[in-house]
Amino acid sequence: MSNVQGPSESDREAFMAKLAEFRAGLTPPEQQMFDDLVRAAMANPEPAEVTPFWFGGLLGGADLRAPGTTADIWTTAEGSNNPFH
Amino acid sequence: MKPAWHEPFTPEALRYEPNLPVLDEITPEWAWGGSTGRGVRVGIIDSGINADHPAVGGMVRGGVTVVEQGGTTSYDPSSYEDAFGHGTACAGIVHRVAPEAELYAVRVMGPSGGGTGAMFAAGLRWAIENGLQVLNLSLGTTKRDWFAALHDLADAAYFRNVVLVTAANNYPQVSFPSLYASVISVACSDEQDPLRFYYNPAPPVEFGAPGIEVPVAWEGGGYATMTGNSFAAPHITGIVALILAKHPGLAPFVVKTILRSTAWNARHRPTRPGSAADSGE
Repeated sequence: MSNVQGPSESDREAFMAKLAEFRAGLTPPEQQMFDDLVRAAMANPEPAEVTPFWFGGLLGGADLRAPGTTADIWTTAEGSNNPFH
Repeated sequence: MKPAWHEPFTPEALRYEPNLPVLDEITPEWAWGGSTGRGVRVGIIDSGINADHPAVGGMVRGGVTVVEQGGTTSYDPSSYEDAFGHGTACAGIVHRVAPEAELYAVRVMGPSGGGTGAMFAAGLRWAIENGLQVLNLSLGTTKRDWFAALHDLADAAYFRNVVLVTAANNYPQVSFPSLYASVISVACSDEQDPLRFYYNPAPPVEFGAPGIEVPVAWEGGGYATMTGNSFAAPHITGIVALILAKHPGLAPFVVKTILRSTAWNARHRPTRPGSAADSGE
């Protein structure tokens, strides 16, 4: 009969150091996806009764824009390009 | 990976069905031309709204947070700050389409990224009973336990002329309230033009709007590119606000008929079988 032993404190620390090293080598959008993966893995496994219908940063969150960047993405509807306004 | 329910809105699957001749007279110009959504009260049933985000243009007029404690729900009108960004993202899309619509935050989800059925039902009830005219529901539940209660609330909204615009689940699962007949159910298309949407004559999901890699408001006053049926629904919510500002007091079934008549694939039919859609207008 095998005796399964959980990871020790030093095992966990070494594992976290490798994860941090791996994360540091990712691009910012990849880091966002990585963070989402970790967050999802550590979250309460019991799903909420009511959930939003988005993919969050995990699958749709690439191309994050820097805070404060009011890119021209809003001008279509509010600017002259919108034929109905 | 694309959200479930989007399949009818791909170019290959899109169906072009003729309008009844009388419906051809309902054009986008007639329906919402010149409208900015001014004065229409739009509820965002979600995670709250960051009212100072530039994407909502200072149009947040109020709101409430549903609090659940000890098995009962109550309302806290003192705060409705966004718990994790989803509500602000949806509100920003509505504002983009209907810049003068009034936005109201009804926070039913917390920092964990979800909420309970009781909070959701309470928030929906509050919105219906407090004079909001269009409600954006980019959320839902797969729990059958909530089918009847949410169905009753959807009917209550319908009979009070409150239009419910709901996102379909991102996964091919039944979810509520998006599949009720009384709501306007929306999934995403690949489209990016915020005013181009499609009609699907094969329910339950009847409309398709931009929801794949769309720009949305995000934390810190910034923006991000996101995907989900969550972001398709607010495009339709915004268009409904435009319609109601120009034609006040319409019943939900009239609004749905207008949407069906102004959908891109109802007005741009191929000139002959197998050919590309014509220019329509």
